[in-house]
Amino acid sequence: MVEISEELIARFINNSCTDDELLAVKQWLDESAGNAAQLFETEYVSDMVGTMRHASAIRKNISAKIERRMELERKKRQRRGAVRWIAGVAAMIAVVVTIGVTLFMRPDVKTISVYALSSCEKVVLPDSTVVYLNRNSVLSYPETFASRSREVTLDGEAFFEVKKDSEHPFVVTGQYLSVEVTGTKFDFVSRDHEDSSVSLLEGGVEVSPVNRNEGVLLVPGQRVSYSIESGKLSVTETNAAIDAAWHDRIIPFENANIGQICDILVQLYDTPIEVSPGVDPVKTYSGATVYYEKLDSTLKHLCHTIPVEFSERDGHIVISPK
Amino acid sequence: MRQDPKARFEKIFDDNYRRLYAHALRFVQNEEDAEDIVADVFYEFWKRIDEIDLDSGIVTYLYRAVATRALNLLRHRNISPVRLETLKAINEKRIEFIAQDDIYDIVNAKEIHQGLRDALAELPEKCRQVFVLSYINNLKSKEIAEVMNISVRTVEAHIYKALKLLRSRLKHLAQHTLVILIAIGVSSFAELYVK
Repeated sequence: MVEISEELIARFINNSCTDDELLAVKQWLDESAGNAAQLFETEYVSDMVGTMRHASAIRKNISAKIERRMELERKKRQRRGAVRWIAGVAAMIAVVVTIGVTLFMRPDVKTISVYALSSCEKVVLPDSTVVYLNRNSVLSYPETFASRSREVTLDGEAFFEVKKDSEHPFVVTGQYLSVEVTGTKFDFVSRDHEDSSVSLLEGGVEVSPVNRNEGVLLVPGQRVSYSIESGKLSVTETNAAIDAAWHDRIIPFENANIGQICDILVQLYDTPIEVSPGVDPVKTYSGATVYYEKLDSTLKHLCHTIPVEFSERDGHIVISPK
Repeated sequence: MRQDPKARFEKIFDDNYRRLYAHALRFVQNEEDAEDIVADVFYEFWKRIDEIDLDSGIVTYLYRAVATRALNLLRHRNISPVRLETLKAINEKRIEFIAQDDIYDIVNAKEIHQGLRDALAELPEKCRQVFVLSYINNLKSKEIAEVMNISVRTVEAHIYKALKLLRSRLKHLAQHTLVILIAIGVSSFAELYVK
């Protein structure tokens, strides 16, 4: 029999338990339903009392946030609607035909849409493919994959670790590009009215503009970009791990000198960085640093690892020796 | 008897925002993050309101959605994997419990208000003082201990005792499904104490 004190329950409800205390609470919970009732009912009372005084402020804030999310979605629809009205009509006809055909072919399959708004989301698909969805992105996929191929759609940015299955190709369709793979790791950026790109980390992928059959095959370390202005694809060498740094929040570098490390940061943040002459240009570093959304925070972290400091001067960063 | 979706959504929102906010806050311990999480969950819910069966398990669905997002957020913070796993396991228990317990049926602010008013009046003096300092004045247990010149353990014991009493009140309420609602004005909780 595990026994826990009432003070410990109070601490649990207060969120001030240590790791060990938390484990003790868990073990105690497992013992009887009565324990669960004691803990969770008390916690519920605390939740209700704790939110009583500010209830109207909480309600107002959350309502405003929901409203903002709806507003964003409406704007997005309008923009899309205005630009692609004709395409929309064509698509609608296609959808009607497809639905007609699908209804006869197989039972209705529900589509699941995952929205990552304020934070990244990790999504596991029915075939156990793992997708990291970046902020402000939407991923849609069927509840169960069709028998021939695994098809999903993306609006935003996502990193895919596709489960290997050569019999069922995995297809990601974005605004302008479509990516077909069998099992691989890649990063896909696809936003309305912006150039799209795909960076490959492992395996092989075929990338083609939506509705056109003129794809390019990528090898690891390459990135293909699609220009919405010219409608053309271009392939460049890239540090694909860096393109995908946001998903695991790790910026890896191997035998890199300060110049190369700065190149990586420029690729990530698109902010000019200048290395002052006092910094040893030859010394190399291997390891990793943490990726933050703001360059400031990343640099602060980096300065703990390598003996430099940074300052900001009219829009660009200066790295100097410590 | 189907209401329009907007009315259904608003009813579900009003019945749940407070406890879901508290649920999120318990993990993330930051008001802004907690509000964001609850807003995300309700927004998603709104988009799918036609697909979701509103008669079964809507409360557990919402609790689970909030916890999933909150735990995701914690994963990006500096939290030990052991703690994260423990929190997750406890949450599974919590959701299992919510699905079958009647105390979660009371969501009406007036009902809760009334229950708490009665229960608070019955608290012993010291116990009530500690409870109010903690829940109304938002003091930490350690600060209350200093103010009242008692040990932190005693503070925690008082808080638990108060919660226990309130719990039995609400439990009592929950078991009497036909409660005649007395329309009490929305007096603030602080006033209850002053009285």
